[in-house]
Amino acid sequence: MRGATVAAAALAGLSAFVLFAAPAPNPAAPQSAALKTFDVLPAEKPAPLPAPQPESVPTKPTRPVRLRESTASLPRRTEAPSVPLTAPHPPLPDAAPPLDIRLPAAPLPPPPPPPPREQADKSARDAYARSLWQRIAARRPSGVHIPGTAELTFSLSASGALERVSVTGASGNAALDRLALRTVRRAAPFPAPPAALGREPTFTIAFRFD
Amino acid sequence: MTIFTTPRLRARSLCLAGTAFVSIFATPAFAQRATALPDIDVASDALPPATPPGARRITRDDLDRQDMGSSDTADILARLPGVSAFGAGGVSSLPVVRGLDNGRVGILIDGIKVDDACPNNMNPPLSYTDPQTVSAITVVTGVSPVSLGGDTIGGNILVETAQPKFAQSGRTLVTGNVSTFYRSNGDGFGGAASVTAATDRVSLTYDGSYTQSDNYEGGGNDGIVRSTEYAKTDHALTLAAQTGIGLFRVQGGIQRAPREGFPNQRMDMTDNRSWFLNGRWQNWFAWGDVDLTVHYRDTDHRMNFLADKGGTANGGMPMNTEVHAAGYTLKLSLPVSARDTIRVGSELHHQWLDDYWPPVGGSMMMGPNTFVNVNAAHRDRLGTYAEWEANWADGLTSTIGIRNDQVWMNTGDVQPYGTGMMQMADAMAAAAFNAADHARHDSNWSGSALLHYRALDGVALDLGYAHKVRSPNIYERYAWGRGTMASNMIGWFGDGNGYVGNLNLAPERADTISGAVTFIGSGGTPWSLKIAPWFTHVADYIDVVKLGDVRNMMGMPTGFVQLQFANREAHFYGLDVSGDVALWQGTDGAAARMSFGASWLHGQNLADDDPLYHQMPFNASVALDYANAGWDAHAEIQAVADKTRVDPTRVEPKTDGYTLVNLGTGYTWRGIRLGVEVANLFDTAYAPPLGGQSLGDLKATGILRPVPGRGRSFNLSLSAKF
Repeated sequence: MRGATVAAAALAGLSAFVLFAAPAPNPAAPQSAALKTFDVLPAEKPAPLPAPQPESVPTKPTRPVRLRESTASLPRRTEAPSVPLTAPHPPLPDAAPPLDIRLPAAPLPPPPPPPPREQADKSARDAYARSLWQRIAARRPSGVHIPGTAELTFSLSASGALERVSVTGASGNAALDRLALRTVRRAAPFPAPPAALGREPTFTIAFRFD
Repeated sequence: MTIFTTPRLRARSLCLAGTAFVSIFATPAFAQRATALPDIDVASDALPPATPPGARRITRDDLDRQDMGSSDTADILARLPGVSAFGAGGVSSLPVVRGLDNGRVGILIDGIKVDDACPNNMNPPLSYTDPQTVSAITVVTGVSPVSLGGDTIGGNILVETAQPKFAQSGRTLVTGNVSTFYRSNGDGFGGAASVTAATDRVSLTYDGSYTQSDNYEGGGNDGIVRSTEYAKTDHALTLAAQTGIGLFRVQGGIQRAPREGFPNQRMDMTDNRSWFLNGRWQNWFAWGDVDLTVHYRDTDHRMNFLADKGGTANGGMPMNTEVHAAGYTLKLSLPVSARDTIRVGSELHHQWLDDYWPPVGGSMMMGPNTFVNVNAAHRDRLGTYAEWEANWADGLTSTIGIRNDQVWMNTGDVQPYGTGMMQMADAMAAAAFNAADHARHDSNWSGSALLHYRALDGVALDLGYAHKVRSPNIYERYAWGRGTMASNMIGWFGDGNGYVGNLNLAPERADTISGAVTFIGSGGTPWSLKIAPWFTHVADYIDVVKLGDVRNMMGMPTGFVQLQFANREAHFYGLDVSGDVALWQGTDGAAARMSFGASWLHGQNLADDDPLYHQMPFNASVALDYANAGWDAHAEIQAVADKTRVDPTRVEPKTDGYTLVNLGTGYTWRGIRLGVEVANLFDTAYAPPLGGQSLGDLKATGILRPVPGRGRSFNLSLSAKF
């Protein structure tokens, strides 16, 4: 009975805390002092998430991989990298847990055929982006049952080190923003980006927690 | 029926998703732009943290198509390769994973162990769940990491009830579902509701269900199977809040089961009342994750005879069990580097159990005193673990952990009904028990090592080794009655035999090696194939030795035996094979798929070189699933071989092989689904190999037979989501 008493007391305290501590709004994701924020507009915003819908069909709605490209201009970097990561990058991990990407509902229209040089650059960039994405996705968290979308912007050095990362689209929940930041940081360092990506390539990525 | 998610579909999605990058960089002036990578979906229905990648995940969508056929969660799980179940009451089957039964498997409900609270294990953990309201179930059949729990030597079954749902920022959310079903065989029916009202900060969820059934009919000419009726209801409220310091959850609930017949036990459950209160705090920091749970459960359990076994008009034989359980689990997950994650945890579980049988007026045997079967026993366990997970290069992941569980047990003195001549065996046993020291302390060390390796595109290898230790439960150590009737009341094996505990039992120590190779084919006809061999050796395996034959009033053997728990030695090995093939894929999720699974195992008692008890014979299933524009359909064939390897010590019956066919279809329209199913289409007569002896029928007819399986049943379900 002693254990029961202790548990009951702990539960009572926890219940009281929930009732009195909530809600504690998180109007903006707290930025770590060590992090530098890009002075850029966020990349093209993803389409607003639909309001929660009942799962009215036996199969989950497909969520196509959306391809987006920012039109925001990048500023010149004026500060030292805030996340210096000097360790040589390990080979690309291929140990990703099963990825739950949904296929596009309809095939994308084929782009116009680029010139041969551009074709080569494009292939290199595509391959790099794929490895980047896989590397991040392999480290995504699990066991989170809070909805929200946290969008990050990060840039890489010529060696693939993570130069900067910041929240450019707060989820409204500090824990989700921290998880997203942590995931990108853990995925670094990345492979050296191809020359076709230019200097200090910058990426945006959104973590959609459902 | 078997619409379980498979690794193939996810992996294939990965392969094809790669092609979606093709047009990311079409703009020449790339260097001046920020490149938007595709979103990372962090799905809440993904495998729980620390779960091996080969684990099976059964989602709510899967259960939606199966809960019309069974209200028994363990029965649904038994369709998975490597999983089977001891037959018991209609909602209380005892799951077996690769030959190791309920008590050896780590079963957690929302991360919490639910203690057995009955000498016949009539209210096992999964009986507190209802397939109508379960959110998801994860099953680990192979080696599992020590962070998933201690005091077990088998796999894991992790059940999640309703997870909190929150509205999108600035909105409110009202969502839920209601469902009902009917089964023609046994006139079973039930219903469930789950309703959530939430803001983006606070969420309140109600889950409730009710289910009942009369006795079912066996297939063919097997007739009514007595003592198979049941009724129960579960209700729970969950309050969750997102705060600046984490996610808080408080969940409380009750269960009332006013009756549950047990066809293979001498007793029935005549009442079970349980309530619980759990609290949980989770937060995710830059340095790691924290997950703290505190829990309490109180159970009052009553056994006696339902009508098929004579009822209680003359008093019957009341048996009461009370259990209180409380504790905490604390888990920390620390991502210490890009490669490494350290998980550490602590867990305290306190179980208090009182088991007493009130005297029956006018009975020579059951009076004049209360039979004290277990007097305020406690079983306290403090578990501590550390685990290291590393994501190595080239597709290799390793997880290595070590764990210690300290187990303290003790109990008070006991007493028989009386000291008359007919009670002498129990009187002597009680005196001997009371003269002995009951306190026991075990220090159990466990360790696990798992490797996951994606060798090539489409080929994954899993390899695991674990040394795990489980201490005896309260009844294995402290059941003391030596009289025929007293020992007949002990045991969860459904065989009519009498069981006696053993104060000298040592913890059982298992060494398991399991592996799996998974092939995933893509292209025009995606497919997958998983081949999983395994081997387990258990030192001090808690089996039985025979004390003698059970004799009737005339001194003649009844065919049943009295057994005592004893440390033996055993090994198990086997092979599970599963896979699927996409037969057709249309647009908008339309698809046809064939899936299959097969399991074979061999269990041997090395101490007496006999087959181990209650081991499933070879079994296999093939299922076709189809879905298109709201329609879904399934056809399933289940085949089970003859059970010829039986344990002579326990007089285990042999059973014949059988094949069952199930058909079903459903239509979904605007969130409303109507399902129709015919289970056991050909009304085949069969006896499940682990179903036990039909003691309910024996009492009424004098004929002993294995418990017949359920005959043909037309099942209907209707559900709506909003």
